[in-house]
Amino acid sequence: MSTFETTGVLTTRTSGWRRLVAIQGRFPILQIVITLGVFLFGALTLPGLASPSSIVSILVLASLVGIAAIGQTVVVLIGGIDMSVAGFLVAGALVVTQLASVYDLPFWAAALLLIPCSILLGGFVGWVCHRFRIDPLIITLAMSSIALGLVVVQSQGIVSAGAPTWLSNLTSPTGTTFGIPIPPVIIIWAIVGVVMWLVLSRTVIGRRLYATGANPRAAGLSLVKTRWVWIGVFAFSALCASLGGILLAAFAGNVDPTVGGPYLFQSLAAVVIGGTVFGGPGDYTRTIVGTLMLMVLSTVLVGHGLTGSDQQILFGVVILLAVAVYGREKKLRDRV
Amino acid sequence: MTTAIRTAPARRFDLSVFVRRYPFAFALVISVVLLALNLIVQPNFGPVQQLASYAPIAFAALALMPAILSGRGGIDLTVSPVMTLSGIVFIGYLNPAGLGTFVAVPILLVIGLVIGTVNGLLIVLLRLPPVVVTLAMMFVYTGINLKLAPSPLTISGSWVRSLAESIWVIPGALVGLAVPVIAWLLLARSAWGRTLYAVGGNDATAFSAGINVAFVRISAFALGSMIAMLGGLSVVALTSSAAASTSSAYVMLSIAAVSLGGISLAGGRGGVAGALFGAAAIFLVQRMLTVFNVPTIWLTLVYGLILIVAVILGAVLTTRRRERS
Repeated sequence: MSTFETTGVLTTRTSGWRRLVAIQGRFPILQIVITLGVFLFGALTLPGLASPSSIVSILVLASLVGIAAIGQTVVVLIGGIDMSVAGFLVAGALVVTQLASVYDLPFWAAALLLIPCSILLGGFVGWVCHRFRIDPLIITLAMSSIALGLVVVQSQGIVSAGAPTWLSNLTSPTGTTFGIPIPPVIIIWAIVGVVMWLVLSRTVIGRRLYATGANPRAAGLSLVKTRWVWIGVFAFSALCASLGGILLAAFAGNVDPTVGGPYLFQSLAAVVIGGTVFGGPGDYTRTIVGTLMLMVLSTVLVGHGLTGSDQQILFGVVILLAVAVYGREKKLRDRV
Repeated sequence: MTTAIRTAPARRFDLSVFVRRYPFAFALVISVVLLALNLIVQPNFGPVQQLASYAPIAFAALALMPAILSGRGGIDLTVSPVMTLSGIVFIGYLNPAGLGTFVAVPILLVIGLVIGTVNGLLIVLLRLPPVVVTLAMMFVYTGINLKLAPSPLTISGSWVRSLAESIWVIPGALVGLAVPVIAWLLLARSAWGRTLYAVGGNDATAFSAGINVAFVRISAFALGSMIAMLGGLSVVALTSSAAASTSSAYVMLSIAAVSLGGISLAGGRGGVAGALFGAAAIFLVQRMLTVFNVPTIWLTLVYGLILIVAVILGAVLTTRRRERS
């Protein structure tokens, strides 16, 4: 919305600053500049950061967060927030490792079981939030613990079995894709990014989603079935998170129930930093930029001795700053 | 015929009207039934000890209440980490410094005032959604807790212990809970209380009526954080320890308690009885689970289910019947 206002001003009074603000509104230039700046600083102060192998490992970490943030982006676009990413990530990871070994399931059967279950649970979240007008934060928080609980109860008492070797190769920083020295997970992330960009900007589904986020009432009056949009979006988010969990299992090897938390915080931070606003505008390319910025920032800071608790404080502050830049509400006196 | 007409509009008992008038009634009924069940299954149900374990949930629900009443999705996710922070500050800093009750408690209250005011200022001045602000601040306070207490802190032989035992013949937990409850009952009857409900009902209308919406909202968050700081002491009294890992222990339970108690998550409806009975219902469900030896790994699942059921019930109970368009 602010984009249109600023471009309107641009035609009458062209100043350099306003032009910059207008471009920033359309594309996350500032985030890219910060990412490159921090990387340059890191490359100069931390030996080995600029080597191809460490760039590849940063990209692997970024792709895991980025894949966890796919669903989060779409949920934020319709004005919600998805806390169940944490639960579904761990649930997905546990289903393909522990549950598969408890019930002697082959990997593909476990994965097939995971898909309809996560779609059902996610869709239920969307339905409840829309039907009873409840803040998605609360219902997704509950669903996170239900999804996690369901899997943990099933796989109790079993030592984690680890992921199959071919799966680990997907996310190993030394992995190759058809002979090219890039781990497959980065390629997967790139393909997903292009698909998400096409779907959001070029299809009817994308239009309906933006319409629902911008003004649910107007969308409903233009015959968009907003309840189905909500159901679909939350089901999609749950599915992405649990499939991301499979990649997480491959990456982490051993999975314990607390592993999802950091990915939830990082995915949310990535979406918000990229400049996607609750209820739109925004898109997945912004999330990709946000993810890269976050991962480069935290890698460089960890290299300079930042601890886990510092990182958590940093994420909180960064989310606040980003929302303060992009997501401010109307003044109260303008709503009277 | 005339008699029929006269009796037709007579007062029939309408459940939905009753529940809307007394939103806490549902939680009260559940609590009473569960309490009776608990007493039957477990005859040696020690009231002092049980009240002490009930106190933290009740404090968390009471701390969440002002923010939710202020409306516009005003939820305070920092309640749980702030309770942990209170315990850590008390055990790690105030108690070793040898500060007594009447010095330590005011210090904790001032910290709570500052935390809540910062939350409120971010929400009001920067015009950000409360959910996002308090979520980000929840990360920040969880990180601070981890920094202050990388490993769990323990305490022994402090006056705080009496909050989980008896003070004279009164259970200590009741004395602790009386502080926020009496404070709230006084505030709710004051002009500030009326304006809080007005802002929660419709902030734009309240603004046009000349109410200082910004001040009401900030003070609601400040009051909530102060109650949360007191709640931290009840956790210390119960467990004699404070651990950063418990920073998000009461997030789900407090939301479930509040919405079960008929405090509308949309704001402007509900009161202290709802928070207390909602918390009691949640606590007694927990008791039943332990009495029937439900394994701890089931707890995450059960808590999630309780939260969803409580929130849906709360939404059904507190929303007005939709007007026909």
